[in-house]
Amino acid sequence: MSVPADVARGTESGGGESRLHRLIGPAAGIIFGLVVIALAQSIEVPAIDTSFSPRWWPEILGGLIILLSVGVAIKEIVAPGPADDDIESRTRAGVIRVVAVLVAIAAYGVLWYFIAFPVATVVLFVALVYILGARGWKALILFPVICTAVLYGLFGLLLKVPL
Amino acid sequence: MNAVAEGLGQIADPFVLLCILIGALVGMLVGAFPGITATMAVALASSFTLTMDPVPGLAVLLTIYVASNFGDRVPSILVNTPGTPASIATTFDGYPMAKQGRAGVALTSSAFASAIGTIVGLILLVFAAIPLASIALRFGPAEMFALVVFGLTMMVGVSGGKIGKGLVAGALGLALATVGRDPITGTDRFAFGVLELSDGIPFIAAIIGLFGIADVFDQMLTHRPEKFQAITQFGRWWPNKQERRAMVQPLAIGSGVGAVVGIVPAAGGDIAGIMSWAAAKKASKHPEKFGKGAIEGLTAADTASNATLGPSVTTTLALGIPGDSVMAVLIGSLVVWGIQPGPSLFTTRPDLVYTIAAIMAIATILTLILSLLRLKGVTKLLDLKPAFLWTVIVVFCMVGTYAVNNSVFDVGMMLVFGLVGLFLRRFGFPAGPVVLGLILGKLAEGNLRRALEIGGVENILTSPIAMTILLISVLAITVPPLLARRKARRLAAAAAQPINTTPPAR
Repeated sequence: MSVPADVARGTESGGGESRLHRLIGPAAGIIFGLVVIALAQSIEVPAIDTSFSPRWWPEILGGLIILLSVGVAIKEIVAPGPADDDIESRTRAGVIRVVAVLVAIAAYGVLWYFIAFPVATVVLFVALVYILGARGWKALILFPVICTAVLYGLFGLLLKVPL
Repeated sequence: MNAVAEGLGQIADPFVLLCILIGALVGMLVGAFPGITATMAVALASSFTLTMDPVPGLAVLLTIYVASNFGDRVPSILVNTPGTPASIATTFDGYPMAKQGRAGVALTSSAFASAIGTIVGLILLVFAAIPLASIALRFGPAEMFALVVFGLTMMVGVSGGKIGKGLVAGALGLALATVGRDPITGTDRFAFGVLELSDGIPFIAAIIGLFGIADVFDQMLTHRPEKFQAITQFGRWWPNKQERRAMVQPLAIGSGVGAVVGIVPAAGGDIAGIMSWAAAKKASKHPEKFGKGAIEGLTAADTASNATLGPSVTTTLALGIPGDSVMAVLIGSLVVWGIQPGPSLFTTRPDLVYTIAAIMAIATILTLILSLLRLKGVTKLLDLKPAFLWTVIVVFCMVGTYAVNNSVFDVGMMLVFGLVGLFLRRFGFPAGPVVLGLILGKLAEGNLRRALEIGGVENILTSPIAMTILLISVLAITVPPLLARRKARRLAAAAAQPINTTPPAR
């Protein structure tokens, strides 16, 4: 099956992923599998004897994840494929953006606990829009107020969600 | 006949029709914005629709599903950027057509091809869903377990050259599904005394995190300011007689390819579009024009991509195995509404297949009409700053997730899954199999344990249906890499050939 040349070329671009970077995913898989197996030991076994205890399936899955992750790791070492074209490289500004957004969301969680939803949400909108680079009164005042009004109207008034 | 009348009667409600109109507008917008996928939109919309009755709720979700598969063609044709993955193949000929000053014809042809494809898929849904479910009704635990494995491996098998990582992701989803009560004994597992986890991981929160938040965070991480060079000269809008005649063969090819691909669990419009484009090129008298603005290529891609919708719903409802990632999200909503997709659904609710088909048919006609409006204004939407789009998505994801159970815990879970999804994405693990594993985990475990307790491993090994399904599953994950390796070897051999120019000695 052939696709246009510019599309096909895209799958060959990239490269430059270090071996360490390629091994992070499988390593996380191995750790997760080990954690599943370890935690499965704390599952209570019912007094009535059954052929398969509630621990059986999680243990199998933990082992399967480890096995598959080791397989992926070996492939990455022995025969690494071309860099994944779906993964665009991150920017320094991007990392700061994501961390700042997470901090704003955490602060919103605290704020919502103490003040009313509409006020806390307007503040969150202003913070997010500012962090993400928009400026001016329309972006920092009008947009947050309109969005909060829509959210409150939709969820609070129409769907009767206790906000 | 009663089921047909009952099914169609349910959409005669004006509120349902209003829901279809809202879904069509939202879906068109969602499709037109590159970066918002249909899966993300349906996941987010499910937080609104869970408070509704099932039929109006389904009307919103299914119409978004249909309409986004029309709207996504607009940026594909006008800015060479697929609105959703399903319209990747639209760019092959759509954008070259637009560059030649034929954007109007491309948009109109694409809308008609998409509508015809959707209707063909819906005909398949109406006629195939109930017979397929009747066959699956005879399945015991061994066959049902095999079917779950089949669904998972198909999703992994179609995830490009990521079969190993896809399998890890699928197993991760299955492991996450073990949180909550054991399906046989009811023992608590991995709940750590947290009440909210005793019923398992909140599904809607997990999918909004994996598809919505992870997508937005990834865009924030990688975004570089760029300006779209949108097409401004649209030319004429209606295809002429010659162009209409050229569309007939690709319409037939696209309908066939889409219907077959759509019925395969987890295979969606992106794969069907590319396969159909290649098949139409092979069948064309002018294959050299493909990729350079051929209306045949555009028609084949868009027909096939939309012809998968009906068959995807068929697989989802009749077998309980999601036809694509949007259907995985829809299963979550159906379960919350007390509708369990699977073979027994049509014995208890035979009217549902006709209700769903009617909703999707109305949605198709409505969206076709919206698509035929002159869409010049849509190019202005593409100029919207991402800061606004990201902010709206993040806040709506949070409030929407909270609204499902009025639970702050769910919002926390959604953010955790957002970060997990971001990690998976950055390291090349597909998120689809995680969701599929999460949905099908309890079904897989319950049926496997029942099958083994009834008759041991022989119960599975002696079932011809289970063994056939398992064999296809194994082939689904072993054949694609073998074929890819063979193709690479052949390409390498072809590349090496010109070097050896000396004729062989006699």
